[in-house]
Amino acid sequence: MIEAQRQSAADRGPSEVVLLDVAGLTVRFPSPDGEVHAVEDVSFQVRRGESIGIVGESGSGKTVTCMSLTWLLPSPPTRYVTGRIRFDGKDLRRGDERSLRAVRGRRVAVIFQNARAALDPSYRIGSQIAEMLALQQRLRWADARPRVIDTLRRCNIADAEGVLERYPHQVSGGVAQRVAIAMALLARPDLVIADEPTTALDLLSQLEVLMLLEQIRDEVGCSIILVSHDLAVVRRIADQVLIMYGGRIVERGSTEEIFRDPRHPYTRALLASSEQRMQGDRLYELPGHTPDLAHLPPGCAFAARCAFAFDRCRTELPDEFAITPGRSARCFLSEAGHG
Amino acid sequence: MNEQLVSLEAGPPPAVDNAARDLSRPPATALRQAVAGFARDRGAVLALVILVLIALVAVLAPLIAPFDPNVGDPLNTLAPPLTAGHLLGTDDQGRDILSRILYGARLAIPEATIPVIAAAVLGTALGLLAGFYQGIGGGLVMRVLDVFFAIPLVLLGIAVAAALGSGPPTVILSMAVVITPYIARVVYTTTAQLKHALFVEAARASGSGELKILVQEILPHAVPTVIVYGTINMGAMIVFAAGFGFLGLGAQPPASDWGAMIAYGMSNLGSSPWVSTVPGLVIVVASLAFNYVGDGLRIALDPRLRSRA
Amino acid sequence: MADRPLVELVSITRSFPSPRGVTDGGTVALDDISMSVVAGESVGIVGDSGAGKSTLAWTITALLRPTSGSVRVDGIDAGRASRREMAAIRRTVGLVFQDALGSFNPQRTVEHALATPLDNFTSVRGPERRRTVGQIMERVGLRASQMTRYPHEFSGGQIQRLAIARALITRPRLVVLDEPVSALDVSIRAQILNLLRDLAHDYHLTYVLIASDATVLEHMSARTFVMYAGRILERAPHRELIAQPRHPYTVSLLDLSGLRAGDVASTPALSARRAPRSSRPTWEACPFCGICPLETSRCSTTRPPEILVAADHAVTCLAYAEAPEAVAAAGG
Repeated sequence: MIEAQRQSAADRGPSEVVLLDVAGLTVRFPSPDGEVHAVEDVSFQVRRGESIGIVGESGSGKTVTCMSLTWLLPSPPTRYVTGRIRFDGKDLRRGDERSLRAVRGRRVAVIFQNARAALDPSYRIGSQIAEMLALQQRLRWADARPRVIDTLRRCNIADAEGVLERYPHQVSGGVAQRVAIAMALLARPDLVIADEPTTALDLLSQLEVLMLLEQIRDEVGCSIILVSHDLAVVRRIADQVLIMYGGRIVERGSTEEIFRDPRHPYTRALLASSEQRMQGDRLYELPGHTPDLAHLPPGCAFAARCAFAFDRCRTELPDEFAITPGRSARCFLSEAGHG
Repeated sequence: MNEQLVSLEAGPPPAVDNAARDLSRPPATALRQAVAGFARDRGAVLALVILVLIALVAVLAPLIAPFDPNVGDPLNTLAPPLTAGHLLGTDDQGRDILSRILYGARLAIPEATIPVIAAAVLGTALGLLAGFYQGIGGGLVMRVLDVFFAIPLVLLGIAVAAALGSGPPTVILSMAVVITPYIARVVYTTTAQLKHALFVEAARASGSGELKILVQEILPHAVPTVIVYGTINMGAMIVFAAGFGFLGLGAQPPASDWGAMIAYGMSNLGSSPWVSTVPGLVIVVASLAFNYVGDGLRIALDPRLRSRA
Repeated sequence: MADRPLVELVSITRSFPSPRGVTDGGTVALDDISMSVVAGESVGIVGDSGAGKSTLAWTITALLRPTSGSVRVDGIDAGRASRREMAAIRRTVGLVFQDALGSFNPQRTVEHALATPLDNFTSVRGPERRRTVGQIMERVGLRASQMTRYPHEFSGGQIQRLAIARALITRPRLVVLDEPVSALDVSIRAQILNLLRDLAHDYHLTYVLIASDATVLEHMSARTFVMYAGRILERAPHRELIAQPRHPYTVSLLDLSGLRAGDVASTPALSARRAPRSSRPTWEACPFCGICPLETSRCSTTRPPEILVAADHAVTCLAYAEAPEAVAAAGG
């Protein structure tokens, strides 16, 4: 079934036009423990109509990466060390509030992990949607309301009129998430960034959210960046997958390639965890914990937990070695010439 | 490289500690964090030093005061500050103002702190019980306290003085009565909210009885607020106590009450302003010191504000 | 080797009154539930959110009183227990809350949280108290030195371990775990599940594991119950439930857990969620009527009974009651 869906997505296919171009993004924060290297030298591209998945554990830098795409994090204290972001051919400069405002919300919609936190608790949900539409598309509420209700219903919100009248804290987490998605649908953006939209939701809610994202992609034709700690979650939607660890991209490739032939040991561990493979009579367990981003080791950040690590891994940081075009792994095992 | 899961372990599993990455900072006991947070606020630290000095002065007054505060020198009345021997001058009876200020601290400090401490204890107890148990008793307690909210402090002081006579006990009692409802209400609100918290249910599941939950789980939430609120109120108490003294409801003459000292100097305000002004300034400094310390405590005890300081 | 079950629920019903002004007769969170848990046989409860799983967890641990029916823990009737008996119940059954972080007092150290059951149920005091807390922390994979820290200083996985430690410190016989891994990163889940298995073995524990994702119960649950809207739709040994699910809801739930995403849009599990809150089933008819492949003419007017379809395997479905052969023929 997945294969069939993959196929039809491929037919529809993303275009070749690059919508988002991220080059050399490096983001750091001060903290009492020292400077946190949240994101180190991250580069990638998203084409029009393409969906990419960014996968990594908590503390891998994936959320900070997303928030930085429209320079959302307040700086200071955030330190944007380097990074050039180009959206639809134009440079998105950090200080340029006007162009940023034109892009945020309207052309790039973000669905946060804690959807309810992204809504203002002092206003009814309907008011917030109305305000958004008025600002972005100059729509009057009377004109927009039917479309809003219809969109909410299509997002499986049963009592759409009721939800409009409610305050964010009066609806469940799943409903809040769907409201966020509906708002993204209404904005008809070029790019939707969904940061862990399924975390802490029950299974069926997760599926509904994923289905809704697919719906957005199909109807609006937008690109999607889906962030998750679970490889299986991005499988449905993503054309391309980036695996992040310790603030860096450690593997990238098409979804099919990543699932069929994961190269980086971390990717393989994630896949094994996700599929609940057994190791003897126990579940396969990736031992240890995520690295302290304020005290990263000199070499590969994953070396401490890696079953294949050798001495060089601990002292030298591997580059992203190309395997095939568009496919690479930041691991000495993938270095050309390695056995 | 596409082997089966078995070979996910190429060699012996890495010796990794599943236990938490050990945070490099020392354990964040509330005390340690609070002290660190407080120390970052220089204004608060300075204010604390001032308060400590005032307290020391109050204790050591008999030892360090150059003159007896109640004995006047008829030959040296209304001497301006920096007169020989009288750093802050003398009043209309020739009493050394510096000595009277020093002795006045022995009245001012208890009058500022005791009411607040008493109110804190009583108010917290009432707020906790009313907030947790609610019901008729709880409602009644809060309504009675609401009545006290409405009573103006000075009127209450006069009424108490009429019953008990003037003096520090009157001042202390009146102010304690007026502050208690404020503290009780703050604690009541906190308690009523936390009553339904999940960790309270978890404590119940751990076998804790209701009273134990109240003291061990809910009280710790109220304490920081009460400490901050109380400290800031002490600043206000300094001023109120002075007000009582000014009106003659506090310690009676010849006692060196800061407020009363201001009153003494009123008749000579134009010609010898220092008699009233000096005690007035001392009151302001003491009050501000309490406020700064209270504010520093507020930032130090609120975990969200602490790390930003 | 006691004969009597660790926990026995008989006809448990729990309803919650509606807020003032709303006249819909209240919400029935648990509707005539009967089940038992036997020592050594861990039980899994799976179902969508709103099915009543957490309410059931709180009822089993005697934190919530049922509106009707009886709860027996190790033979003691929780509804009529004296204080001493209640303490015995609390000692026998531990609970790991769904919101692990929320179940710890942010103003107190984790040492306090872990030691509270010790203080209440045992006479362990002084240095031994501290030692016991340290030991249980080490056993769940943390360091004893971390006991002086506050809950917010720990990561999600660590808090989960602490919650487990607290439930275990008085050596209960049964531990109820409400969605123990759903909020955790996929890579941490295996750590926690493996830990739970080791602990069950070392401490002779029996679990009641609640999850919305049936795959979590794999290797953990001996018998599994499927819940929906306050009733048990199907109950069977776990392996059999996975291999031969009978209720259409169970079939679709399992299908979706595998994320195999069949013809997703039309599965009963998903369709059933779309019904608005106000028409929460009262079970006077079957709520799946209209979206169920096994539907009969009486489904819209009859409360579906629970029917035994195989040894130790029961389904709440009218179709099975009326024409089991026809259902079997249809591949149900």
